[in-house]
Amino acid sequence: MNSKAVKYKTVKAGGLNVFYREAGPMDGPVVLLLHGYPTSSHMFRNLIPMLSGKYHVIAPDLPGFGFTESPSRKDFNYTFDNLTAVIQGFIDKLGLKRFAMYVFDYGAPVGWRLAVSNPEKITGIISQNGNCYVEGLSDGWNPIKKYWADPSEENRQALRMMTAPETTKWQYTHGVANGELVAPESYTLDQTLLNRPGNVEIQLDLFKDYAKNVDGYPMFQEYFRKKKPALLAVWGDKDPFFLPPGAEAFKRDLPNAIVKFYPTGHFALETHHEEIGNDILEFLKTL
Amino acid sequence: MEKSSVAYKTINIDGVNIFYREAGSRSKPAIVLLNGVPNSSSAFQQLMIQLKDEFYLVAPDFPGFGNSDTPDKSVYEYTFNNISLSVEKFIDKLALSRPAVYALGYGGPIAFRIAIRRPTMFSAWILQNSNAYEEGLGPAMKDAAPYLMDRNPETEKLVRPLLSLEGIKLFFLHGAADEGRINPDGYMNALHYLSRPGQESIQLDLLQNYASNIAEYPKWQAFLKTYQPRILLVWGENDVFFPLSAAQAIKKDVPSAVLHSYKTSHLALEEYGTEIGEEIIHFLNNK
Repeated sequence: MNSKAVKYKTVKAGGLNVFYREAGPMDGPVVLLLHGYPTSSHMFRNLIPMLSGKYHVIAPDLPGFGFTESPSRKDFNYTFDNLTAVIQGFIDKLGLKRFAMYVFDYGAPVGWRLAVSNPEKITGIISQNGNCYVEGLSDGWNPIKKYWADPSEENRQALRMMTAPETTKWQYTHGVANGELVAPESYTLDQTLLNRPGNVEIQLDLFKDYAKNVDGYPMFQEYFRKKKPALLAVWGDKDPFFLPPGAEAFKRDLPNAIVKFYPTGHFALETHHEEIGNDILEFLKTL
Repeated sequence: MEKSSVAYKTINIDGVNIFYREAGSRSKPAIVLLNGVPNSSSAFQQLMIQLKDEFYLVAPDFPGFGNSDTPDKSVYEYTFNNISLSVEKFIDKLALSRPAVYALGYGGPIAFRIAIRRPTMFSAWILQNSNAYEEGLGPAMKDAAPYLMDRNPETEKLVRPLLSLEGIKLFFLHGAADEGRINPDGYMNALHYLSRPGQESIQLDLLQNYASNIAEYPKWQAFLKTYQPRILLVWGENDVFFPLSAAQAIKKDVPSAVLHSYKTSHLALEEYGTEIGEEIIHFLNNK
């Protein structure tokens, strides 16, 4: 099979049908790609062919996102712990012994939990706007922080605007110098999937549970200090959610961390996948 | 740095904003890529990335399709003839000089209509699952024949399902060698665009107007016989709309045409994009 050909697969793991993209040599070093909100493994469509010449690339969709089974809220408690449990089940099912992981946005708190539980499996970490420090959180989090402080129905409903089509598009275009480089199918697909019955409520549950990620930052940072994983931070410096100080902060716990910025927004791969992909390839060579 | 990416642009043609994808350098030979249902220019996304170092590629969405404007039926007539006029003006406005054309599905009738008016417009033809011969009409087109001949509420029932997810999957998956190689993002996004308010009426108008293409087939055949254009035929041979017999009919009238077929669906690029891209490079670079 052509190494650039991507397979679109589903496996039963952690109790759910988990959809994932897979490409590259099956005996190559594994790179696990963990996506963020409100997207899916779709966000890696341009990066995967860059890595799959040499690496066995695996990109699952988290429950509630993309094409992974998304049970109703009464059957599945949408927390980052539970998203992690499903991805842990996925890693076990695929029998992944060692892997580098790319974490973005929601993929980061899932990835940090995986790393803490499986430090022996992690060969290295690429964080693309995947935050672990309070100084990385922008004012864009204020409406969500308000909900954390007072989990009232009113504060919950106020967050619905985060899932509106205009917001989804804005997440892709904010901070992008040339809007002509953002593929419309990105935010279109995300919105189509957000519009599925019940999905917005799932997202509101996850907004609420995100507080536990911030609570977990000290524990994740302790993991960095103790296990000293190789880390590359690749960061869109105009991300309205995760600020450049969040990228710089990795160096505090990991003095050898490499931190690179790109003049773009949250979804940095949309405009800079070639530059970021090349920097990742350089980093992966050193692991 | 960003020059190597695909850009997503808009240009105004007679008051209609035409969205198009653009890749590669204007100094390279141009290819204009044309497709209609069910997924417009997004059908060409990966191919454009593959070919962008060698060619200048532009792929418009037709009026009413994808990210182009959808003018009201009272101001824009949704016929193949009218769309061909819009696309001809689009090519002129971009000042493409003797581009090659890649025509898929509805793209063929658009390209043939332009060629009848301007026989030397296209320097070379890449035809993929697009038709100009009675014997090229596959079972799905035969099923739609009563609707093409006589539109009424009864015959509409025959074709309406083509706009549903199941109908869209006919284009993507039916006849595929391995459905696991077909990206589900494609049909989810196609469903989004075809589900927009007003779409059903426009798409049913245009499908019915396909009868006008069948009436024009003899003219297109005469063009092919007379001008003997350079043609590459790349074909998903299990297509239920325009199967391999459509390609064989063209080759009968243009014996120099090069034919490559693939065991896949109408949207052959989904499964064999890399292979088709390599054939295109070989074909266009070996004059």
